[in-house]
Amino acid sequence: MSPWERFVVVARGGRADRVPVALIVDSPWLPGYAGIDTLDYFLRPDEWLRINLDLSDRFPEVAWIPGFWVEYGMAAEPSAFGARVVWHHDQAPSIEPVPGGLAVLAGMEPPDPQRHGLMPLVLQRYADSERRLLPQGLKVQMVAARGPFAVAAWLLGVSEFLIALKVEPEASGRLLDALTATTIAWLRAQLDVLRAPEGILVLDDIAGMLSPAMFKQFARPRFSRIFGEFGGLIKAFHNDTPCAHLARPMATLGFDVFNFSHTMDIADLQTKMPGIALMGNIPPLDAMARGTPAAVAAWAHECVQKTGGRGLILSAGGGVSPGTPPEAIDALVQAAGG
Amino acid sequence: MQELTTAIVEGNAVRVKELVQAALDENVPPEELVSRWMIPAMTEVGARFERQEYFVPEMLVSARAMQAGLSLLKPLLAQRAVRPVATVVIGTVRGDLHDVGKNLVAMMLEGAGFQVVDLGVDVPAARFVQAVREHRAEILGISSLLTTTMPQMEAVICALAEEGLRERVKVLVGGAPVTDRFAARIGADGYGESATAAVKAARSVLGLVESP
Repeated sequence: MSPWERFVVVARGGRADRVPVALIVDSPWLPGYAGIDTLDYFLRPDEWLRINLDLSDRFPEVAWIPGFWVEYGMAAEPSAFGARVVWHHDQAPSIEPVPGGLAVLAGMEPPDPQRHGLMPLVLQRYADSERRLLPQGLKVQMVAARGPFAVAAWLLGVSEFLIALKVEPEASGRLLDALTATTIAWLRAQLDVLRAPEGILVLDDIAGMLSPAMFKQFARPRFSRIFGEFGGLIKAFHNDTPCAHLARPMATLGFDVFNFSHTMDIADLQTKMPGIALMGNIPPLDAMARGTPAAVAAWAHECVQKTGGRGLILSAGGGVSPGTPPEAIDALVQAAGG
Repeated sequence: MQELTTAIVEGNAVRVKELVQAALDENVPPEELVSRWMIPAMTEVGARFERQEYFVPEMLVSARAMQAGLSLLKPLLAQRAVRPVATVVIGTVRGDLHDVGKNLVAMMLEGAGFQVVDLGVDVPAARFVQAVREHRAEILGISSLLTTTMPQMEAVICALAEEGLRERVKVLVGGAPVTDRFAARIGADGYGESATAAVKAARSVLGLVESP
């Protein structure tokens, strides 16, 4: 089995020949790992492709999620709403809230992925990348989008958005409806330019900060709608906030794979989220970036032991952090096979 | 005045302002309003958060209500030369625009009588250092919500050491992915798992209470 096949089998509720290892990698880690300027990583498609191909050569037992990810940090969706994107040489771009706040945003139509912000550039680069990957027997397996709460937080500011949910629920709901439509359209547009993608990844940390009641009111219907749109595909959800209080309602959203915080207990989650593959939960900094290979292996063995290896995809409890050395990934792979 | 406490706990900023103004019009001393009615309100909010009756949005709304009241009281407290417990410089590290934890901690600290200098988000190490020096801060609070920006916390602590300020200021760190082990590893003096815990940690590092 290839790493991707293992990931798919476990995501579909089956058992692979060994515990899969899958890691979310993107621009906070890859440019530093490859030793290049972040802007070069974004602006030089040849370098971007080489780095991502090298990753598969160097770690042949790892499934990269989403894999060959064309991204500009968090910028694609907010840029389509007119947010200012601030670029840096040594980190992913920053996003500034849109002037005018909720009063302006609540009345906005969803952007057109073919025309607005950085989205058309991403689509063009996906099409171009796959043209170059297919002759090598490779393809883009998954596409990704930020969820409506994450994008709302970028557009308004996190505190402002969470306060708005409490004090202006109707206007917040209108914005979230537009952003839900945006997430769906953005995922659909990316899927449409690719040959045969097999999955989607939705990333939304902010929803994990809500109370159970607010999650039920605001989040559950919108995430259910998003995941319900993509029947047949593997659906992965990333939220690495401490959200154990939401595990049971999250389990009803319709995704297959959950990537979650290392601060949550994987055994507890397995009880609360039956039927969902758990992708975690090695501490990304304490173990992966700063720990020893032995520490990574110890965490991995603990995950296997706590879950019995069932429904487990070994990964970091979040994305791969800057400074994570290759030896940490080697240790994870080795532990998965042991 | 119990209504003032309730209004803060319930996050009713408009009502808090009305009640504070009414109390001032009746010559209630500002420090009594803060210590007897407003700080206990935020203590109750923190307790509800720890019991998982309140979550981040509820805390933010209560903290905003507290701020609304304090906006009327701060000039009067300054005139009466009421000494703050200590000065805290606080901010979210470079590359991270998340402000929730930082804002909550800042507001809870103000509610507990600290003077807070809030540097905002995406703050470079040099700016933290400059603010600590400029405000003669006793405590520096550093926040990060992203695992990808957490290493910046250590960069700030190193910058303090390079400028010879490390021994003069206590460093507290916090944020959803931050752990006590991470805090210890980067050489922080304390760590707050929540905004309430951060206030306890702030008092603890100053030797005001036992460690939380």
